[in-house]
Amino acid sequence: MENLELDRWVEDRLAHLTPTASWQPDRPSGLARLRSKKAARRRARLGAAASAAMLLFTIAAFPATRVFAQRCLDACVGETSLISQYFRSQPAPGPAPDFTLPDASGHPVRLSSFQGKVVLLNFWATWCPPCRTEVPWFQEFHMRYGGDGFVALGVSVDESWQPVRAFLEQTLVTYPVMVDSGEVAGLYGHLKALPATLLIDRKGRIVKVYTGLVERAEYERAIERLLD
Amino acid sequence: MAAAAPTPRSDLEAIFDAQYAPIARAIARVIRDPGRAEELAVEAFLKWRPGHTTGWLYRTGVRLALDELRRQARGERYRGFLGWLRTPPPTPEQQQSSGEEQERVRTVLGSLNRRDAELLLLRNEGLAYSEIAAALEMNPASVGTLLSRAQQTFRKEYVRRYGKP
Repeated sequence: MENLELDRWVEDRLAHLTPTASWQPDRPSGLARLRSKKAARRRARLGAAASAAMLLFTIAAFPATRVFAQRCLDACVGETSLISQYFRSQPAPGPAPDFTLPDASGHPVRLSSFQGKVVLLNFWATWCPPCRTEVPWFQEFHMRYGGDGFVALGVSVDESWQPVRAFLEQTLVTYPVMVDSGEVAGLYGHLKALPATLLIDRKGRIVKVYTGLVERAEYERAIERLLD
Repeated sequence: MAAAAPTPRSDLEAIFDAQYAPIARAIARVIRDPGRAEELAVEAFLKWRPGHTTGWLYRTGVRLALDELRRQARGERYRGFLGWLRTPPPTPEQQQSSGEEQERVRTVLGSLNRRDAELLLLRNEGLAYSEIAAALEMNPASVGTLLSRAQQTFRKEYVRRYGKP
């Protein structure tokens, strides 16, 4: 009942919306307007297509414009790829850039000296909780798969050796760990997040890049696949 | 000598012949300018594609009208704010049709969310629930409930602005 009353009330209000009684829609002039607007839109579409065709023809017809267009295209593609690479914060796939850094005892460690082995290269820091979670896993992998040709390498981005040494002693890490002042991280692209872990195959190519805390089983699966 | 064959009428022109007047009237009910209503009706037909229903045409017309109503309301607000911009004098037709109640209803419709306003206007145009559901792409079973809510919102907003009539 209440709904019926509301319905009637609203209908009464809307009934006031009546156009002027003397006005009648003018169909012939409406039809003329419709035809003229349709024709104008068709002309605009044709004009745009013709302009695009003319532009393409001009570019393709002259060697100078063709070369210029090719360079513009290359530059656009190159920039887009650089930008997307930056935002993915992943190093480009391909050969792992070589580097040499001293380990905790001062001995130089060179990445290329591990060619022929599967390398897990982990960028980490003592102040990064997920990194601290992962380091003991890598120590375990280093022990478990070492005999099959696997090696773990840690590159700490801490500001000094002091906190790194303390942490390594506490966690009993035996794989080579180095401290980087930013040069090696720079070689591997923009590491926007820690931990960043790369898997490098026996030929020295980066095959996997992980950013952030990853499931332990995921690492195990990937390492075992590479060792097979 | 044979007479020239008449130009075949396109689907668009056939539906235009049948529906132009009611669509233009539906738009003119929402905005106060009949000339502008005819322009908007043509716009609605230009958006039409084969397969679209009459309900779709009403919805498109009503939507264009509500957008125009909101544009007008915004324009009036800015003119009032700036002050020095003079409002053009109303045409005799506008003066004739600008009953106070009509303006109130338009103001309230313009302040509702678009779906509520469309529901009320399409129902008021006499469309069946199934046609409204198809035009607004909603479940036919929920049209009644949504329409009732739209009516309640309309009344609440009307009473808030102008008190009980």
